[in-house]
Amino acid sequence: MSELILTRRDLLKATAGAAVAALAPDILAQEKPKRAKVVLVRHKEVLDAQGKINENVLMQMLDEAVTTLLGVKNPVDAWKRLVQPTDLVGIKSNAWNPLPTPKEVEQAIRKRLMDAGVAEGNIRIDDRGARQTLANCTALINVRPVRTHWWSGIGGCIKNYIIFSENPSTYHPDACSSLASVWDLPAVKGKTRLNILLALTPLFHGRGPHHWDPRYVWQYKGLFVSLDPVAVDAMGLKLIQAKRLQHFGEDVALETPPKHIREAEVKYGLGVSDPSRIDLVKRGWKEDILI
Amino acid sequence: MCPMGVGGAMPMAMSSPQGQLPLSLPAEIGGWMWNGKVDTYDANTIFDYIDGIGEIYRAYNMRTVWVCRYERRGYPSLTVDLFEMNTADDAFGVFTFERDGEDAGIGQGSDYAGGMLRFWKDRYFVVITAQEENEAVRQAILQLGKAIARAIPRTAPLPPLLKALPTTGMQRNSVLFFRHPMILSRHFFVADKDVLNLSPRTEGVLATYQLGRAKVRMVVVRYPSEADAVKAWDTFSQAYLREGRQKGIVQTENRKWTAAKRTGRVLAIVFDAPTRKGAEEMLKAIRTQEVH
Repeated sequence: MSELILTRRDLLKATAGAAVAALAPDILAQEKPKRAKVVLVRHKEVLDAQGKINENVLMQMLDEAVTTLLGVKNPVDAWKRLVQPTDLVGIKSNAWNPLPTPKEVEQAIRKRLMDAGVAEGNIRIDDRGARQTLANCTALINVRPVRTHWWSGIGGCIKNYIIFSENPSTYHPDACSSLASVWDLPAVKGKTRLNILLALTPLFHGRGPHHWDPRYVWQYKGLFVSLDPVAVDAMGLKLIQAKRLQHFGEDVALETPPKHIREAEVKYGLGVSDPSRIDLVKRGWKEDILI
Repeated sequence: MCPMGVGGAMPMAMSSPQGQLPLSLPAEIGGWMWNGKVDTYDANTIFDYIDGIGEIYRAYNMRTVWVCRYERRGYPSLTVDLFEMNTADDAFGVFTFERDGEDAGIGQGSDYAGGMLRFWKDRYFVVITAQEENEAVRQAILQLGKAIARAIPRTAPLPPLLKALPTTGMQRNSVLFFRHPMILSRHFFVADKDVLNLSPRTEGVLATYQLGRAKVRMVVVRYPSEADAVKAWDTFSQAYLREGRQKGIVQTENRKWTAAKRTGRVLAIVFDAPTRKGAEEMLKAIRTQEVH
């Protein structure tokens, strides 16, 4: 076997920093000190004990998140900075049955798009059919819940666009490390105006054929927003890891390393993955915030 | 119709769609009613049902999964995933892939936790899940699991390769049966390439042992032929034992010891023993002669 083989011994030998440097020296040398902004908003009353969403509170959270992100006082003015009345807007949600993008979230976004002047008929919402229904959109709002994911470590905003590809399973090798390349597809490239990573009830550990176990879901009652899909996912990952540490009492590694987040920056230049270069602005409820 | 009934025996008279199933499922259990539908997937269509995790079942040679749902007003629905694997070893293997929860005493091995029952019997692996759990859901899942286990008429022996593993010091529920490097890597990363020359026809077991404060792993792989085992020895010893290749033992970068030997078509490896002597003794304790 003449090809280069990375074994457990190599991982034991290398310190974390040295390992990264050894694996990607060219990439690291090209890094720019870019920064990104992510806003986290939480509200204790957004969910009741049964998990039902309070729509008024949700809208407050969304408004606070978007205005804080863009530095604008009025939420409608903020949305007007994101979309034009002439846009055909696609809300790319997520239909994964155990933990979908809630309808209430989709409708809150739709309302603010309409407030910003987009005609109702020019707003589309889809997940599984997005490759057909959203391909012609001129603007995309990317929204989905954060969760652990069998193939990619976590499922976040970067991964939410995999459905735009003709053959999603081709991205599975190497822990989905090439996921960010999806963002170069014509149906997607340059169209995303906002990334919303929902952390209302994140899944921090999966089990079984459906990677689902209600014991590993908790009411965090938060949402992240950012213009940068990589940064928002990096914060989602940080939250999931913090919750796993709290729950398991030790740093239990994700079943799959979420390398696609770092690769999204160093290989594809999609955004900022290094938490030290992400300005996380926190608003609202602070109890058990974890990050 | 599924052509592969349990042991070739068709269950009691069944009307469609029950007739699509290889065994008889109850129409009602604890107030939950089967909705009468059966969705069927094979190794090529599994991704239409399971988000990517289908690779696990393909790695254990799945043939078919039948999916049925039970519903009760005001309660979460129950989903039955009835997997037929190629062999009983594969069914046992996929069961060992993910152990969590309490033994439910169902089938030939089971666990229950968080609204999910997993069990295996003969060449069937069964998962029953509910989106939310309460006591009524739990009872219904367990009853349904018992009914399905009863409908599978035969039991199968455990994989013979398990006989190679010493039992002293073995951690409870730590045994993994595998055929595919992806499965092994999920539990214990050896290398990013297939240095053990695995294939759907190889059988492998991984087990964890507590040796003092150290966690020691044993891997035993049986190959279809001695030539396959020789090839595996070559690739593994070059990639991993390296400077210790000649003696079959090496102190690795974490200052622990890895030792390996090949006996006929069986390759045995001890990872991370705290001392050289410990590695040698544990390797000696692997009963390769009983399984080669």
